[in-house]
This record gives sequence, structure tokens and C-alpha cells, in this order.
Amino acid sequence: MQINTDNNFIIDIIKCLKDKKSAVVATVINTRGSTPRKEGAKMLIHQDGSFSGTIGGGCGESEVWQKAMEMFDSNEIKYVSVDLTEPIDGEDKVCGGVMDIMLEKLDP
Amino acid sequence: MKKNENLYTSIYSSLESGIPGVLITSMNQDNQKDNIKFFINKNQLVIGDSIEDKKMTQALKKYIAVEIASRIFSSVSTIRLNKETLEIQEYKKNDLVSNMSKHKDKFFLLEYIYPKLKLVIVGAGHVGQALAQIAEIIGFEIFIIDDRKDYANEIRFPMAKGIFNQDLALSINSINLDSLSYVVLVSRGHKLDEEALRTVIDKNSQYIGMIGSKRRTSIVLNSLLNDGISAKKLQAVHTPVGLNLGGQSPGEIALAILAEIIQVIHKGDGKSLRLSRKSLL
Repeated sequence: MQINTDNNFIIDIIKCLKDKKSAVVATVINTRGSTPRKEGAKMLIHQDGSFSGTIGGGCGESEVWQKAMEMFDSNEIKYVSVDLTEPIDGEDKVCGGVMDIMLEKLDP
Repeated sequence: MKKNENLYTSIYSSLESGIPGVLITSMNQDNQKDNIKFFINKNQLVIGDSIEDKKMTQALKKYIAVEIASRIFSSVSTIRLNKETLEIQEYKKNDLVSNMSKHKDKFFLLEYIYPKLKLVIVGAGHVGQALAQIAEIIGFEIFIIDDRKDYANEIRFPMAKGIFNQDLALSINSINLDSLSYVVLVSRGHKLDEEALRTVIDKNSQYIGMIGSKRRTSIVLNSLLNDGISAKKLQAVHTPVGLNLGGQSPGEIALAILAEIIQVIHKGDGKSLRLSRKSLL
């Protein structure tokens, strides 16, 4: 079982809703292989592009950030898979794993 | 979607009163706008959207009541609920996202959310302060106990949730120690650490650490043993405290103590990860 010890996101979410600001909540729901964060990690992405929390940083996170930014004019749940397996010198993909992420828009 | 604010505020107040719960999100919406989200806490209180099917809600409640009792930390799982038999299974396969839309079963994401872990620091000196500073970054709820108001105050400990300046036992008794509590004894003297250990050893906690040399701490442990305190309980006390990082300064010691606590939480082995790599030689 993966233990998730940072649950500050609730406070961030409440603050967002109280300030009447829209945001996207990204939650890691499934991982395979080596990934920087495991199931339950969360990131909150604000409409101005700022964010709090982390689902692992780096390229994977910016991919999710990009997808989240596209969600502000819709009202749905989206699932994205982030592939962290990058080929090295044309060899097999050995570096990392894949994370499935649920993106939900939060409407104040 | 205004209900979201109520939902998260309710989760927050449940956690503030020390009651864990589960945030449930239905994942395979036929209509993507139909995002069902609700929270069930340990007292079976349900807040948020309701599923149209009452029997399904009952089945979920039953499942969660069992699961929540066996967990102590925040974690996440995915379950599938058979609409006809109401049978619930944890879904661990990797094809989750691609399979969700094909299945007739309902998929739910269960996020078990527990109150913050408590770090109770007995002793507001150099190590105590360094502990609080690092623990704040990690996200602990911090409590400080020290009768010296010059040390244990809001200026030195702005991150503390509670600062207690009364007599040691009285201060410890005013904190609700539970399975989410981690207690570190780093007071100004071994006598006080011993007194604190006597007070906390019979209380509920997940970790007790006490600073001191091998020699000094074994004297304390033996003295408590002679007074009839169970050897099993004393054996579990983390003393000398911390992982063996070799550091000496208050900051280094605090880091070694918190490293040990994190190791206990996540059941890590405390070794350098480099050692798990294949040798090049």
C-alpha cells in the first residue's frame, strides 16, 4: 500500500473555492514501473498557470499542467497517461514508468 | 457545482476533529459531466453527491467501514463494483484507464484521507527547534512541550499548532496522543526525558524517540524496566534516536530523527538507494 503523507491539498482546494477561483485537480490514480510519485499524489493547477502540490515534477508534470490549462473552458473529467519512459540512444525504453492521472475541474 | 465547497469544507472539519474518511469519486461517467463525488467518514457520515442506487451506497459504506479500520495512513485505491451482485473488488491492474469505459462495473477512486501526523516535541532547545523547522516542511502538525517560556514560545515556534508550558505530565496529557502521533524526547536533561518517557510509554503513539548516548539511554531503559514497565514497550523505544547519518549539529541530529520517523512511516530500510543499483565492477 502506498502511503500518502501530504494532504495539504484540501486546504488549497477550500481556499480556491472560497476565493471563487476555478482550478483543476490532478490526481495520480495508477502507476506502473518507476514513477516519481505514486497513487494519491495531487497537484492543483490554477487558471493563471500557478500551481501547488506536485505529482512528480519535471516533464511529466508540465505535460499534465498543459492538459489542465486546456480544461478551463470545459467542464469534465479527463484521464491522461504520462509516459516517462524515454528512449536512451535508441535503446529500449528503460528509464521510467507510466502514470495515469485524473484531471477534474473544480468549479467555485 | 457549489456543493464542492461544502464537500471539501466537511472533509476539512472531519480531519480537524481527528476523524479520517474516504473521498469517493466515480470514474466511469457515462456522461462526463456527471462527476459523482462524496465523502464518507469513519462515523459513516456521508457528504456530497448521492448515487442514484441506495443499495450501491450501502455496499460502499460497508466496504469502507472495514477498510478504514485496517488502515492508518492516507492512501488510494481503485475499486470496481458489480452493479448486480454489489460485489466490490480492489482493482489493481494496469489497464485501468483503458478498461474503465469497456466495463459494465462501476469504478470508484477511493482516497483514504487521514488527519495530519502529529509530531510531539518534548524540549524546545536547539534540537527541538530544528525538528520543528524540518517537520513543518514535511507537513506534520507540531506540538511543543517545555516549561521554559523563553524557549517554548510563538516567536521560536511560529509553526507549532500547540505550545505547552505547564508541568511535563500535565502538558503531555493535554495532547490527544493517538496512532497518528510521533513523540520525540529532546529535553534539556536526561532526568526530564526519563520523566517524559514514563508519561508517554503507556499512551497511544506510533513512535517514541529519546535522545541520549548508548550508555545514558540504557540506564534510563533499565530503570524503567526495574519499575515494572514492560520490556516489550521499552524495546520499541527509538533510543539512541535517529538514523546513523553521522551528523553532530542540532540540524543534522534533527534530520536524522525525522529520517528515522519517515522510515518508520513508510517502512523503508534507510539504506542509500545507490546500493540497490547493479554494480559496475
